[in-house]
Amino acid sequence: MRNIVSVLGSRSFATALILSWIALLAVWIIPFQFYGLPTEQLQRIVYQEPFFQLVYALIVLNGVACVVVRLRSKIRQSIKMPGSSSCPRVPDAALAVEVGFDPARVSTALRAAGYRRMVEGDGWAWGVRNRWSPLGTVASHAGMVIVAVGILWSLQPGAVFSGTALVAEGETFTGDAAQYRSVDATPAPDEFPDVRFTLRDVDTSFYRDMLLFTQLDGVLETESGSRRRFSLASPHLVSPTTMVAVEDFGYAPSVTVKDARGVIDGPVIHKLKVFPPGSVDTFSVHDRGAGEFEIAMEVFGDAEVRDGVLRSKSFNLTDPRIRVDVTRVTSVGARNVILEHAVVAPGDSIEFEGVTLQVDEMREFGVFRIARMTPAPLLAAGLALVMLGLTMRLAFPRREALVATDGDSVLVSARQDVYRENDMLQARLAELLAEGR
Amino acid sequence: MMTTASMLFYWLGAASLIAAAVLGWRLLPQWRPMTWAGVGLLTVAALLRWIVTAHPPIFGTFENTIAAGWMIALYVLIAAGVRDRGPLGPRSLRYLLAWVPMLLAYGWFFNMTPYPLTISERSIIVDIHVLFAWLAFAVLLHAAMVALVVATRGADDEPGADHRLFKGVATGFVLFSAMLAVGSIYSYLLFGTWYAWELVETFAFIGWLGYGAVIHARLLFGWKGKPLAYAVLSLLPVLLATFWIWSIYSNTYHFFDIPEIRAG
Repeated sequence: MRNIVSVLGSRSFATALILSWIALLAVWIIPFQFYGLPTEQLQRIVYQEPFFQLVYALIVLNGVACVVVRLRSKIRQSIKMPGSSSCPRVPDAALAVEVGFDPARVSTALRAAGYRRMVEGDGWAWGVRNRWSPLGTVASHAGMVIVAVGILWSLQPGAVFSGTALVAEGETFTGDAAQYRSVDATPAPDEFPDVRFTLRDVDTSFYRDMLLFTQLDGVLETESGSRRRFSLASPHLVSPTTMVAVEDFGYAPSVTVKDARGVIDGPVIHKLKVFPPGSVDTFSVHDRGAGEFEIAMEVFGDAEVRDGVLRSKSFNLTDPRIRVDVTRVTSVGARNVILEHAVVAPGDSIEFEGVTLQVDEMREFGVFRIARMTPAPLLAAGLALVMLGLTMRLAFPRREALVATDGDSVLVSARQDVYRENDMLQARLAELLAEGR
Repeated sequence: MMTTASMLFYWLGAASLIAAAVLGWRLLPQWRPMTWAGVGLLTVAALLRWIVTAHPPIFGTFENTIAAGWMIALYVLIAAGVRDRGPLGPRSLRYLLAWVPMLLAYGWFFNMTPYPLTISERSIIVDIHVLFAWLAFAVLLHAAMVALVVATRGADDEPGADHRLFKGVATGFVLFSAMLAVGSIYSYLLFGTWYAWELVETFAFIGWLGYGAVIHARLLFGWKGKPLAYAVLSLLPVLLATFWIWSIYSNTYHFFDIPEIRAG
């Protein structure tokens, strides 16, 4: 068993796995990206192709074995300190400094060079800096294993939920399955995230007359009545695993249709795909008979008439006008255009065949992604541990220094375990000692 | 007027840094004040542009060449010793300084119009991600230049080259990892996915694995000198692709040279 663990945690095995992973990405994924394969398909290849999964499984085994094999030695390396009864062996490369051994002077010089946890004996002193740095190797690899476990967990059925819902200003999202426009899978009803909010406001803005989206944020009200500001870059975190994020927006006119007998339909908020200007969307309203009116709308958010043509000056919702076409569709499917290119502003109405269509107001709706990722905290913790471990080990390597008497002079030695800047560290300590600092 | 002033400072800064690279190459001590002048002028240019756009120079290829050039020039000044007054001794730093005018010139081929940030970039997390990115780029590019010196002239050409090579890779690896970690968190907040495996992210991960392999090679197998240098040099195309492929290939989340689509 020990041999198996040693092989799995060996440096050769680790190197072979790293190179294999690089080769898979370079040979398989990069060409597909240049070919234009969609991101979702690329992700499926990276996470679900057998070759990749084999590399991942072996990397997890290698990472665990690396931690198991090296943990004890790294702990020993970190807690290692000399006893005060006898001087540690002075390396041959130690520098000789022409000063007498003065414990206070030596201690001061060691502290000035950043060494702590000193051990002092008769005619010698030893200090260490970044004592626990060797544990950084274990921490970073353990973090990578945790990230890998988190990824594997996220691939299990039910671990990740992502659904899209269109919610207009003033509407309440209750989290019911029927309110989702789409979900990435079909979970059982009790697996929908427990999310409920009322959308109070959506603000959008485009730069001048350009299709450069500079603002998409708003306010939602939670069940408790508290209001939260959200934006594309700052989603509403319901819990550490669940969030509500806005992805896009659209226009949602509130429309009432009535005739002499009263209201036929409305007021209804219709969430239309009418952005950018030029896009037309339709909705249907039943007439009092067996047929229906098919109402097509095109929204000009910042309307102007130029050369007799209705256009939009910008992509902002500043002064909207709606171009309306109405087609009567009979019960047998016959179509007859009864109103063409009528233009109406919010608050106004148009009439056709005794029917009044009123656009009460123009609202905006947000396209929200409701996501639950149960392994998210584990992934975040793994990433944090990786960064902590790398920083500990590579940015703050362990250093040891020894100053020992040698007749009328002292010998100075310093060692660093990662970069081995021994000469430089020794020279620096010798300088401090000679200066009496 | 702010934009015009910003561009004036930009061109003066670019000219200074071109001169600095030439002076550095020729081992003339004037490289240092010229580089400081270039960094100062680019700083003013970036600040004036910041007033117009309300964001640091991180949006689009032109702005990112300013950020990268500035970071590399400042790195060279610090690495050469702030108190030193002499010529630019280490060959690797001369090679590195030569990248500054090349990067700035690359930016000239792109739209220089200042724009406000698009919605996906409006976050302090993006600013931190970009800061780590350009720090990592400067450090790893220097490591590549040290590798070039070692590979072509031997480690003796530059005192401490072998040590500087490994330390550069290790330091750059920490910064590169921080860039990836921050980017992953932001990707999760933005898209609900920690890693999209789009073009830039794939190159970045290949680079991360590659630099990790180099560190393993040094610490576990004792690689040094030319073998280590060749290994680092082999990653230079990956490094450049990670940081610049988005400027020529738009099918990536990192593409921000936006086309000017106008209403009406």
